[in-house]
Amino acid sequence: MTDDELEELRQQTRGTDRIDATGDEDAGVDVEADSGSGDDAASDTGSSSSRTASDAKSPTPADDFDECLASTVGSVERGVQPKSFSASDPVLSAFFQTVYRDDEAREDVGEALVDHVDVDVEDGYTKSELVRLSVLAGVQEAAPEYYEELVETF
Amino acid sequence: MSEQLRAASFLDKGGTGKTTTVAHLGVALSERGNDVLLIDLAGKQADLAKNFGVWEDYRERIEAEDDWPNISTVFREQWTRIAKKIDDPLDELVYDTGEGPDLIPAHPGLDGLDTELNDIEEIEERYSRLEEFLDSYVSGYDVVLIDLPGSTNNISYNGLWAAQHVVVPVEAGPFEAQQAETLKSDLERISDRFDVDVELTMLVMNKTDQRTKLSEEFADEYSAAFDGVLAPHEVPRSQDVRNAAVEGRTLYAERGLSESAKRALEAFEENAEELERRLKA
Ligand SMILES: Nc1ncnc2c1ncn2[C@@H]1O[C@H](COP(=O)(O)OP(=O)(O)OP(=O)(O)O)[C@@H](O)[C@H]1O
Ligand SMILES: [Mg+2]
Repeated sequence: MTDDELEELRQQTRGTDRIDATGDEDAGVDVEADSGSGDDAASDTGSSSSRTASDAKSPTPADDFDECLASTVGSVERGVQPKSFSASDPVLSAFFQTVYRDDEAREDVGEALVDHVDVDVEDGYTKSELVRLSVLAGVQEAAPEYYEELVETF
Repeated sequence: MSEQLRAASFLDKGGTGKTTTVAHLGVALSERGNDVLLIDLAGKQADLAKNFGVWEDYRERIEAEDDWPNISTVFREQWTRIAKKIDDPLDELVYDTGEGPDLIPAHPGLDGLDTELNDIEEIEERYSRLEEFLDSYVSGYDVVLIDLPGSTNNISYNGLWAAQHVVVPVEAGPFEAQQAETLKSDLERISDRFDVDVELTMLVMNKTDQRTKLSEEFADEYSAAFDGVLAPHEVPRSQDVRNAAVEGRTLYAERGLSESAKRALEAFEENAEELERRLKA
């Protein structure tokens, strides 16, 4: 494949994620979680418009955020949008895998998260549950007013 | 040429036997005289490649960056242009499993793909990239089986769209029954909403133990809830299935099978025959 255009296409589509050079084939596996909301919920709703200079402390959702969220939840429930969301971060991925494999760490982290966010887990601390709880805890901590909207939707 | 039969193995739960099912049904269908292609979309742990012992080889290619194009490339909008410039694009993607079926292995590029597919505004297009690839570039196979991730994301949607027939391996338990029910109604909703008809074609009870009263009950429950969908044979739990996978082969290539492995193999064969019948119907 020497063609210039082909080489350009190759560069464009190679993807960013290379296998870990240490050869640990599990490193960097995507962490995935099931939950009622897809990651489109945030991007489709124009939430960035609400971030003005004055709300550096606690970001506030725009007036129509709840409606946008509810409609996206509806579209997830109808199967228009998938139920899972994913994030790509090799170290975090390794972190969750390690926590998940270590019985003690799993219980520790899982229980701390459940205490923190005060929601129920159904099927034990699966990897999906750990990710889900962590995301909830993060939003609760960093953007409490958005979190309010979120819990009202559950 | 008769129409290409397609099915995807899916349940949004990990470890129920999706990959094992694709591998064994694939070999069984191949032994029945079909040209079979397996496609691994289940994520970069590349289990299907490991199951057929071709992972080391593929991994070396990945490390040497001799891994382009790969399965993730066919989802990109540039794919048509790329394919035009390559003599035999399918041939670049396909590996020989050594047991009959050909395989397109999973690639680390699948990792970021789910998020990237979100950028495709047109939802029908977002979910039909794989179908387009199969329709336009994958000829010469009688059967295409797709292994999907154990979660509902843009990639699994692509697999469901393309295959429209879903094989669901479940274990016998209350959670699993619920999960299968949910999947069934999810598929119905998806079909209602979109111009696709995704159907639950076969529910396979996997890793069943010697009959206990409890497992009897689950079996009864399943056959009532999934009338006409249940596979003709349960696949018993057999250590040989796991061992063979670790060795990089299916039970078909394993010698000196235990009794449970023989029964598992028989189940895969019967289920493959029935799957072929259902896909042709
Ligand atoms: N009938 C069986 N008897 C014994 N072990 C089995 C059987 N079926 C599958 N296994 C083993 O169970 C494990 C999970 O199976 P498999 O990888 O096929 O599941 P999966 O649904 O593809 O998982 P994932 O969601 O991680 O992709 C593997 O170690 C496999 O070898
Ligand atoms: Mg699998």
